Amino acid sequence: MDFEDTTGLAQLEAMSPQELDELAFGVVRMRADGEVVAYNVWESKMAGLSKERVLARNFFSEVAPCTNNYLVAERFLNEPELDATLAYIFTLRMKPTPVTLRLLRSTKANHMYLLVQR
Amino acid sequence: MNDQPIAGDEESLLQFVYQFPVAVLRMSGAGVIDLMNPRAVSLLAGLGLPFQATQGWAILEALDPTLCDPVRAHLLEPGLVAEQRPVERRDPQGRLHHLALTAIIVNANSCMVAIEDVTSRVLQERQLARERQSLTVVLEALQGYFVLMLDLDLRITQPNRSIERLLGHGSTIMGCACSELLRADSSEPVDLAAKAELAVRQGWASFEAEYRCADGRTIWGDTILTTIVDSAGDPSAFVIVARDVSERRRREEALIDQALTDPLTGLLNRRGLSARVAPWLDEARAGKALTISALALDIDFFKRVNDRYGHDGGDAVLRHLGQLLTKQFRRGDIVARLGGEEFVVLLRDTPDAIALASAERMRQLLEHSPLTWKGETISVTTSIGVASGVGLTEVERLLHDADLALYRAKAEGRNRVVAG
Repeated sequence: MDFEDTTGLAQLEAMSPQELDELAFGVVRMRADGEVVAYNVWESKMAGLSKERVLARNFFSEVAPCTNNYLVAERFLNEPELDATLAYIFTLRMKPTPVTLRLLRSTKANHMYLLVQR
Repeated sequence: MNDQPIAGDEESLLQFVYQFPVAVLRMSGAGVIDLMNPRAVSLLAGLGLPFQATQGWAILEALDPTLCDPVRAHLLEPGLVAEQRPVERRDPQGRLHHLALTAIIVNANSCMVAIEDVTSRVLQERQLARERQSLTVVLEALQGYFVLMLDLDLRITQPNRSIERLLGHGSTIMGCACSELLRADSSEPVDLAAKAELAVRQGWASFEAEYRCADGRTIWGDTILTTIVDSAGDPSAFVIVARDVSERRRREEALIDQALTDPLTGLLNRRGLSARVAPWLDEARAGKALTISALALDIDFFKRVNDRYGHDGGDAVLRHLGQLLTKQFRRGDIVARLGGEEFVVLLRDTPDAIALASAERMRQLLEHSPLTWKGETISVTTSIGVASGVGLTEVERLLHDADLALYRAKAEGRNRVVAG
């Protein structure tokens, strides 16, 4: 699938962690409270954090505090139907890195997703 | 993308910096940010400020324009250019944030910037300052009250305006034991430590105490001692709030004085004599061999004065003798009018010879101090009987002995002193 796929959420929900690892952009699969359920290889390498350090943690407060504000975290928590794309900066290994974020959430899906593209 | 394997130490360090709670960034002289932590992005983006890697100068300018060289061509001299500098910014939702900005110029091409959101701390401090201020206002406005803040050892922890105004004590009172503020020889001594124990048990204790002012006066305080407890419920301090009731005490004492005073002469009456002599008798009961001398005085031929000058003239003579007695004897002596023309003086620890001599001086003084009343001169004399006793626990017998001596003085021709 592509980063911009309009049917992204349904497709992502159907993918196993191994399939997520094969994607060419970052994927963070979270429960509604922000707990990380899947963290793909692309994102792991870029952030410099292994999956073990990230899985079962709260993404916004423990893994990527740079997203813990109204632009990202609060949108996830406040908007039940969410498909937004925004330009952002990730501090991957402390290097300010422009990224494009896609925020995906729906009442029809069990998980919410943060997609990261450089 | 970085394809290097993730080393454990490096990863741990990364995570440590990712979670660092203060926004930190490093920028070059050209204003390019080469390193910044997640908190920096979160904070800048949250405030609606620039946060792109190329926007170092814009960030600094938005936070504190005075930190930027207007030309922006180079960084200033190396050093700490801002240390926890307070900055206020409104986020896009309109909420005001208080930031603390620290900037260190490392060299011409490197500047470290730390930004901390201290909003909750600032608000807390302001709240505290407001509370402290309103307390100050209350203490300033309190009329007729004073407040003492005490630690658990009952020492005064802070001076305030209410103490200064009512008691006159300034900042030197800080650290003083509160008990030192109480009058040591008060008629109603207060055991402050015992009151504090009570206050710990039941939360408060109330009492009246006599407080010492800076100028030596004392004031009576209707006092409530309250225990301040910490969050665990343990006593952490005491507060005394006291109302100045000196006026009420004075009125009460005046009433008592009235009950003990002969209104005509201002001397003690019989009840007053009993009240004043009681402590002397207590000393004897406590085993002290105290000598008490009694002088019983009676104006000679007083009936003739009344008959000739009327009761007004008689009263004037009684007042006249009262004044002479007050002048003649010391403050510690007890001078009383028991009724009619009968007067008594009690002296303590006075040798008989001296008691007799003072009686004789008194007799002569009256004899040579005629009263001028309504244009007339009234001359009177007095007979005096003197008696004494050691270790007395009551004075009736002594007064009786002095009376017997007085009768003899009358019988022997009046205007004389006779020892019993």
